[in-house]
Amino acid sequence: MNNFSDRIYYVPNRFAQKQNETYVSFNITIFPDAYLKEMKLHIPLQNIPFGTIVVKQLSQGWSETDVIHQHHFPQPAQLLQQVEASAYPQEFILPITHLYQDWKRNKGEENHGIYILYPEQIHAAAMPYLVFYTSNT
Amino acid sequence: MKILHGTIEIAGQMGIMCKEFKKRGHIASGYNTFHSYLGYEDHIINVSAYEIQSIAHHIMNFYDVFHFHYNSSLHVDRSDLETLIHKNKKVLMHHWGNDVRFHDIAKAKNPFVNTEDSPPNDMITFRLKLNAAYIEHAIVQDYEVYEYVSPYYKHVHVVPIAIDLDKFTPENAAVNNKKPLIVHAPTQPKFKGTNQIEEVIRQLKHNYDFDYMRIEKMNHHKAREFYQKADIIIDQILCGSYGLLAVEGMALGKPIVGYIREDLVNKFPPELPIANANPNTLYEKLQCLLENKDFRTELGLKGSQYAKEVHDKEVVASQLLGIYKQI
Repeated sequence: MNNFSDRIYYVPNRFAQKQNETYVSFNITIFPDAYLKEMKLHIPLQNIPFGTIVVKQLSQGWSETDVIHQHHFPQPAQLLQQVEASAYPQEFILPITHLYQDWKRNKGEENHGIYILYPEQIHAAAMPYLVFYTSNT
Repeated sequence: MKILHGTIEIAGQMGIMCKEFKKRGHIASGYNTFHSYLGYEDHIINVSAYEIQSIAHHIMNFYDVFHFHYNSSLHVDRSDLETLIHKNKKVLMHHWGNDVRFHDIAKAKNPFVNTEDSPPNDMITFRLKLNAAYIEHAIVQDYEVYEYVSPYYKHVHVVPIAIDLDKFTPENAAVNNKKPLIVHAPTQPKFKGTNQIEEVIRQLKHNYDFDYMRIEKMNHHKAREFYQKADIIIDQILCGSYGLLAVEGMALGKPIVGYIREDLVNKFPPELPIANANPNTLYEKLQCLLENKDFRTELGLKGSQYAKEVHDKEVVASQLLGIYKQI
């Protein structure tokens, strides 16, 4: 049996999708620093048997309202990872501990979040979530 | 399963359960908007009501099971309940006592109970009707709370308070204490009967040599250090049922004094190891415990066994997971 008692799960504070693209960010300012070992982005990939997944950082501020109603999408910037979906039948887990301090320091929309590009035929992917792996069990 | 507990942490229960669910391979989170000096933080996310409302739509999409506590939910106006039902999510409401204790019903069965901390009856009724319009399943910790909510919900499950026994080691304080130490730790003194307890303590002091400590406004972790030193722990003597302090005291192997309403005694597992005392009988009960070290030890041993069989988080988690699967 899997023991997940060292994990704390966060849902996004912003999440928007445009066809095969996902924009997501997390407010982690409330997370207690003392417990952190690693921070990882979990990207569910069930029902995505093949194709390339591209994960990038977002470099511009955005809001769900802008994206959904006015179609203003932030520009993706630095590449974080690119993988083949077939290698990850359940989910792809991307370590992003190096982003922790920046996300912790920047509140709200200054923490721009992550861009995920799925294979072309995907029109709505399951919501990614953040997991803190902690020293507190 | 993806399980969400929220949004008011009562007696550390959300954190204890989320930890246990995660240990069994489930995704589980507890969001707490009720921040107090007790300082519960393990396995929960402490947020404001505004913060949780701003991400409620994502929470509602992500989780499968929504276990709410103390009449709370994600939205202050409970508008999330209808949304959750339309999304076919599993939703339960866990009532803890003062959120639903009708003043007249409580007093009809118990002349000692203090219901000042409960809202007015009409507010309790309004909230229960609102919940029950969307939620079929409620949970309560014992049959004292059961009767307040059973007319409203289709299903009411009795699930005991959970305790993480990894944090409690039974200890015989008599080995270290020169004089017996009686400890009382009221989060709500009027509800627990603190004035009446301390009047009896004053009377006993004329004839017996012992120490008394009242623990208040202390972080829960720190308070446990003092419970460890106690020879006797007094839970409450008015309410008619026992709470977390009694369970933790039992887990530490301490004899517990508390009032169990007569008609509820046989609703608990047999031989509930609590020295049953109300304001009229507390003096004699404490007298007996102070005079008889062997009886204290025996009651303490029974208590630690009872805590393990009934309140261990593993036992309680299994019950809850069974209920979640039923819904």
